[in-house]
Amino acid sequence: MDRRAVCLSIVRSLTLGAAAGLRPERARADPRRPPRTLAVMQTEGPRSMDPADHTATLTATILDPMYEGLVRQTPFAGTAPLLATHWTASADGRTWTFALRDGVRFHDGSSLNAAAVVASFQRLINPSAALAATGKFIPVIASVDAVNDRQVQFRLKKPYADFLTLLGANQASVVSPRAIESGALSRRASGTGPFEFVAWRSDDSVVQRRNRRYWGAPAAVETLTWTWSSEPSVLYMALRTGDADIAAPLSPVFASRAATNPSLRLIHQNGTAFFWIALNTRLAPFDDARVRQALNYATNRPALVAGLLRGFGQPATAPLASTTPYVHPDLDHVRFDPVYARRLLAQSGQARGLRIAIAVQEADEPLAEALQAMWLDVGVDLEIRRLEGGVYASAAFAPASVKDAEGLGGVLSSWSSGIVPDLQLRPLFSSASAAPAGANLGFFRDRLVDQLLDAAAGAADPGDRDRLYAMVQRRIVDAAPAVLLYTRDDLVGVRRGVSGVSVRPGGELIVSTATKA
Amino acid sequence: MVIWLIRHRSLSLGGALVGGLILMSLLAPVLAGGSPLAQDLYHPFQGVSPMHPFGTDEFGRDIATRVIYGARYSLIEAAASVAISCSLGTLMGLVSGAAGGLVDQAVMWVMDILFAFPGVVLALLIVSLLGPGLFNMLLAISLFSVPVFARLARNLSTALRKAEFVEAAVAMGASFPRIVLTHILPNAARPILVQCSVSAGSVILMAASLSFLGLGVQPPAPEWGAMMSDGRNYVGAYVLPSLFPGLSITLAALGFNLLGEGIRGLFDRR
Amino acid sequence: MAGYILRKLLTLPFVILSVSLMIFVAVRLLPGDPARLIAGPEASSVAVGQIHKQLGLDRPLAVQYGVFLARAASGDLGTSIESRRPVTEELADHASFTIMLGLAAYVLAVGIGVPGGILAAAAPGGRWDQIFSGITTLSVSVANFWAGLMAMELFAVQLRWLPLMGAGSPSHIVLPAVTLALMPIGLIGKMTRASMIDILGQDYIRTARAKGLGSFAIYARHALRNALSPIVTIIGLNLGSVIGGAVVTECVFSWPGLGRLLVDAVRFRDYPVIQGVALVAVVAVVLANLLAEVAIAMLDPRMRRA
Repeated sequence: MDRRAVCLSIVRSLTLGAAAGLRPERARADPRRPPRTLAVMQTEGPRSMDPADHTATLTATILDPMYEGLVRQTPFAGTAPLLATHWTASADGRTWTFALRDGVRFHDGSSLNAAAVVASFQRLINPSAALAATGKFIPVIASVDAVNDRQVQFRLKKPYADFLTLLGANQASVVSPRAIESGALSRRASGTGPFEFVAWRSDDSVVQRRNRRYWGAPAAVETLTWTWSSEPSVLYMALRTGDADIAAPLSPVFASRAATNPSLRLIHQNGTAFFWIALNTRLAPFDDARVRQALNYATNRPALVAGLLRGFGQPATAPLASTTPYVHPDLDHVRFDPVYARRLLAQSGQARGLRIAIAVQEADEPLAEALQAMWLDVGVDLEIRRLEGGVYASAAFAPASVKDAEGLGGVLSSWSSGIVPDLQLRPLFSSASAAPAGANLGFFRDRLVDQLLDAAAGAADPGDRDRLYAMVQRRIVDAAPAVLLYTRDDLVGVRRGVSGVSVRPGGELIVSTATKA
Repeated sequence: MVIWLIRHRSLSLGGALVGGLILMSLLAPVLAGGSPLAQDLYHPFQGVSPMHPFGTDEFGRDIATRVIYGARYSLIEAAASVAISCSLGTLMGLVSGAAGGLVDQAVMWVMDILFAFPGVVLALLIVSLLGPGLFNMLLAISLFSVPVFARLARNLSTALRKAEFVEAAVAMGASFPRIVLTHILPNAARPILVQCSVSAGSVILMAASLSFLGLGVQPPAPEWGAMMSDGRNYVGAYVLPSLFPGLSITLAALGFNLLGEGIRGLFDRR
Repeated sequence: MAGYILRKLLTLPFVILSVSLMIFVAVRLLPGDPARLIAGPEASSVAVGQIHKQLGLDRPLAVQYGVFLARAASGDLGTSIESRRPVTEELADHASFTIMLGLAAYVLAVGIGVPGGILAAAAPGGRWDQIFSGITTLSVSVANFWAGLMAMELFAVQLRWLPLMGAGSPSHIVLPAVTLALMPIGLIGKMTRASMIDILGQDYIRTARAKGLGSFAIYARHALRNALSPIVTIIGLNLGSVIGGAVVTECVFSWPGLGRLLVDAVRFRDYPVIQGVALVAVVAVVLANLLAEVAIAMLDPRMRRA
């Protein structure tokens, strides 16, 4: 047998096969991408197609083109009408009446009327509906009724200044009553938005198509395709190859590359994602304010922003993000001073070194690792407990008894509150918000802070509010219940030719207004 | 001497790589000249330069230093894991094969169950249960490697049991332990030694995979798999943090595999 | 012969049962509360408690296992905590992708490994043999996720020859399949070469040559038939490592198969899905081993008497 002949024939068939499969992608039109399709890639897939059944920003982004609420929040002009054309509030602020827009239809054809709105909100305030978002609405809304076919009335449990902001949230979207009844809402979206649901291929993609019967301005794009990958590098590579037209949130490392890439554009705005470590104030030695202050002084915030965020962020100078109204930067006390940190630790009897275990989510792990090296310099040994999504949530919101038992000294977290200082400070620092009820993960309890927060929330005069918020911030920095870190900018990568993409404060991407050249 | 080395290429190349691994582990402080943990947040992702022969990672740490110190982890992983699984598995396998009958069935049944779990799945479950970390990962990997040795030892043992010289020993009234130790073990030793080396290679890969999935060694330890797990986030912008640790993993595994083949070649002499 | 197969089949349910128990217990011991995860951190404890009840997590472990077995027997593996779809549906959706990937990898592995091994064995020590041995040793040693990432960077990003990730078109499978095939190519190649060399050195081959049979007849009729047994063994036994490799490969390339499903499920403490995937993986491996052993028995009369 001629060995060379056999060899040659094997090689020949392999090469032919390989050549057949490896034709350059550009030459072929991809049948999956008809013209005027916008492909968006995020870092996480949606939890549900039901707006009331999730609390994730990245799910809200996907649902946003398909659903609408009574009102919407604009970046600089406050609340704008959406499904409600106008509204009134009673003098005591506890009764709100909304007039509904005419001629709006759900994607399944049914009409928008008061009954539909009532049905949507009934399930949001029904504790036994077991929907994820009820926790936000039950404490605020007492009841919702239809006054007539075109008017809906809300009765609140007590006056809530940010009720309209709440109604602008994705969770407060109005859904089709038919869809509620069918029970398939979590798998198949049905709203009033400019895009309607086509398919959700679990683990792969969500496809949306332009709603031809939309009541407002028609969308400029025919199809929206959403995909996701937890790998930051994949997001950036998809942007480069054109597999994605929009990629968000882009990791800072790739954002700096996107900024210099001629075929890409970086949308970057000051964010409100505030990062901090909630210290367990019930666990010794973190019950000593000096120890907590020392950890703050041991942290080099500018270096963190330079290294980890590549400059796309602001070092914390106060318990509020720098873009929030009434922020009072305190550079005397929120600064990097390892010498002073050591002194504080010595004063509180921790001169021989301190161990602290912190719960960290996977995505924030580099931040914790950077802190590890920094704190080592002042004699603090940071143990990183990397926890995955659900386990992290349970650990983060666990009550004091559990946290003490596990020796958890702190939780690294981020909070995106938008531009209302009360929504940032109260959930993190008021004693009523102690975990598991709220996000005060370290059980910080300070009566003065509580009183000041209440006073500031109720104060009508901006001068008063400013003074009160200044006092609150000063008090929080002194008591140091948390290690303040930084705010991260919102980063969205976009291919040149795509426009009309914006980001809400809080990180939610608005894509329904996008166009593609 | 040189001719011998060239003729036994696998052995010498494998030996050189493994030897290099051992040397790097022992001489790390001398070779590296800095701490693998020292960060410089103002200079992340530096390229190759005289000061940083492999560049720096996301925290500004010198990659070359970390790669050198990382050799220690791979060596420990390979040595500890293979030692445990080899001794445990071989013992069980030899006894099982020599004994035959019910004992053989029972032991092989347990091995079958363990074998039935794809390695990563088993390790995923174990590490999820016990928590991540070097020790737990070693436990999981050792457990996963035991059936390989057991089955190998058992097959050798079964085959040898039927061999003439063993039958002769039995006929002469030799005791069971004596048969296992003096007749079966020495003849089984060579394939088992080869398997040890090959297992070391796959242990290194498995440990790297587990760390890559986030379940192995914890930060900031400079273990190669963990470094790859970090570096993978930046492929597309910066390749260096993934390139060199991954290359080291491959070279280490290659070294052990070549060594194993070399040893086998030495004994085969065909 | 039939008796042998029957005996093997009888042990099957026991193995699967013991494995299912192991998996069930292991999954229950995982830390984290799936009910809290569904509800989200802001949900009230009442809502969490209700979800707990809905999932049946408040009943004793033994009862839970019994229920699990009973349901599994009737084809119901529970509902995914994260996606709310039946586990069997999730498995079916993802399994086809993993099977496709695995098949592609196997085809590559056998297609390259077996012919390569045969050729190498035909002239041991020759140039092709040395090259082939080098290639197989390298492919067995390379860290497949590293190779995958490097290949992704080179072929998908720099050269733009291949698509990046996901499973949209036929060319999407190329990079993941090649990455996954690396290890089996090496193992199958080596085993083929080794057993062919073994066989070719046997007396009956020399007899056949002496009788004047042409090389092709020798290879096809005598050598290959006998060498098949260890080759089939390694293909069957390999399934475990291919599945393991698939987990990592699917994660690197975002290939929507069972491996990615498993890793996500572990992250979310999605018990039913973890159980389902582990069960499927184990059953697949057990079946593959069984088939391999049966095939060997049919091919090799010596083993049948064992």
